[in-house]
Amino acid sequence: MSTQLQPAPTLLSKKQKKLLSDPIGDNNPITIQVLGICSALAITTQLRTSLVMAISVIFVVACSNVAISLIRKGIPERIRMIVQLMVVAGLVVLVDQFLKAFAYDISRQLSVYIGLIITNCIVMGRLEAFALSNRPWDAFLDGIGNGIGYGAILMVVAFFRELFGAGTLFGYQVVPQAFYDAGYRNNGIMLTPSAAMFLIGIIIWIHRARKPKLIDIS
Amino acid sequence: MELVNIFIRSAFIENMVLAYFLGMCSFLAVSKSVKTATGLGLAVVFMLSVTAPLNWLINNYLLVKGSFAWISPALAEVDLTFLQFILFIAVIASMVQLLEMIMERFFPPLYSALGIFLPLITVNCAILGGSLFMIERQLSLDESVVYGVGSGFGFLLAIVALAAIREKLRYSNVPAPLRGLGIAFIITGLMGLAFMSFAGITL
Amino acid sequence: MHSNKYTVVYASVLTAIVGASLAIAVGGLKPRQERNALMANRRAILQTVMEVNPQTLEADYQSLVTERVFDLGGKEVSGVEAFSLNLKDEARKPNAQQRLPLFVFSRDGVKRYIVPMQGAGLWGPIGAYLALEADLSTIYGVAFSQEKETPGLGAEIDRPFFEDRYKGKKIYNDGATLEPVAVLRGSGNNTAAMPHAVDGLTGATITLNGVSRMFRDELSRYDRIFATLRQTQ
Repeated sequence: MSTQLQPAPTLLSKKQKKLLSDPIGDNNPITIQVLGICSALAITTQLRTSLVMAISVIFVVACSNVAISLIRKGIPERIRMIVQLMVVAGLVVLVDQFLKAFAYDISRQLSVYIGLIITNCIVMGRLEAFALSNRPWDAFLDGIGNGIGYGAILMVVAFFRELFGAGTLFGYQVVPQAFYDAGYRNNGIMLTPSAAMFLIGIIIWIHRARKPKLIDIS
Repeated sequence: MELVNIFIRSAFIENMVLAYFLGMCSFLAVSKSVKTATGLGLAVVFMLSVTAPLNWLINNYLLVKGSFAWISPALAEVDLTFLQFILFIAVIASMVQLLEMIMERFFPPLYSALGIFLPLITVNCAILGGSLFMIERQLSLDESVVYGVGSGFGFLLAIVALAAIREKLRYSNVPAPLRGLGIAFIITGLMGLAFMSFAGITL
Repeated sequence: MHSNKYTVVYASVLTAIVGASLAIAVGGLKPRQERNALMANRRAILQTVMEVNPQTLEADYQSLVTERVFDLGGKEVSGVEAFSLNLKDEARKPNAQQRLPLFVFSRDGVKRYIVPMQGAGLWGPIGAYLALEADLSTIYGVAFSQEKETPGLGAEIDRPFFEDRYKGKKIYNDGATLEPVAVLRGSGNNTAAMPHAVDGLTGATITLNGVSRMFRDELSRYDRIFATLRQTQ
């Protein structure tokens, strides 16, 4: 609590740096907290769509964390979930309406993500676990960190799914035509959501093999 | 007959978890034992069968363009569909909270058994997905009830199956880093592949 | 623990604030949004038949496209704005009151008939425009103008590679009965010899079933209109 009394010497204290870096590694929202797996699995068939989703989620988690953190003291305990969801959904829908009016093409690109983001439990999960009991600046960092940790997994999964499922990366053909002529085939399973489950399972395996303290004993 | 078809379709062919991969978070997090998985599954069945018709009523009598026409023709042009997301979510969240309060008051044993899973349901995207899909498919009121029950049943089935597999897995020699969450992901992927065979059925 | 009174007041105030700010935003932005949507629809209509140049879009549309409205029996109706019609609303009306828009493109004596379609996919509505050649059976082009499907899977329907699969397909069979184009399951099907089918996309079954259903339902409503147009040509 001493940081409240004296001005912080640097922009980010040690604790705050941890808020940013933890979710990228040891406390990753997908592989450790089991948040935000739901509909986001479906979109990792392409790097392009995963990048859009990752950026949108970073933005939404950070903003909603700040918004809830600002009003956290007034929220009545009994209806806190409704309040959280109302604020988040309200903000997202509002942004969507503005995009529809002033940047129609961008909104057409993004509108598909609206449902995926509001139903994404990573937003709600971070609000419950962090924003409700922390100051806005910390909550903001927590949101950015978790968004990046989430996005990083999406990009890794999408890299493998797009490479082996379609032979492209960011839409550009990388598997040369000569391979196809020699009998190479794109792997159809990579395009199903099941492939994303396998890949995340393998990511968890590698992650925990390198950091044995994360191993689930039960 | 149509209702039976909707039930089978929503429970198996369009299974919320294994075909749409919705509601994954609680599906993976709460499937360590069959007992708790059954509890969460039943709560989801209840929530889906209550919120689907409730949201159907809200959508058709409050939100859709022309839904106010029965009050006065002047209101026929009012279109509140932009509130759809917010109202659906509010209905789901308040149902969860209501359920929590009622159970706490009248069925304390059931509440303590289920208590911790109730808040988890609010963030279960399968519930909101159920409401949105039901509107999208343009179901009628009775169909939406069946759809809700069916989707919930599909979720219950899937989570109990996964929990049973995970209980058995405790006796197998899974590599240590893969134990728990890792292997659960891979099993879910395999179950998803198995459920793909249902997609060939047309009803 | 907050008191009951506080909870109720808090909830009402929050609802009022969120509701009001959304209502104000939607009300204020609606004209702009509607204009954007109209332009997007016009662009989609032109896309089915020609390369669209954004600079001359407005002028091209005005000079090349005529908007016409028909009833279900195939009789032309005057005094109704084609874009004021909402296909979903029309489908709910009694048959005699339904009005269907049709866009006719003509340039250098070549005519194309453009049919708007509205259906449902996995996450939300799907909208498309279908351009038919003068025989009212051969598909000249398709543009999916509205979709909210899963990015990377179902959402691929509005990419040119998928839209192009419809080119040259037919919606009437040899016996002159309607047989709309259906999307096959999975990808990699050879459809060269199948005039009423197009290749599908892996992992997008529900979206594509919706697309097939949309073609079947919407085109069957235009059946009589096509018949009239064929006679009057």
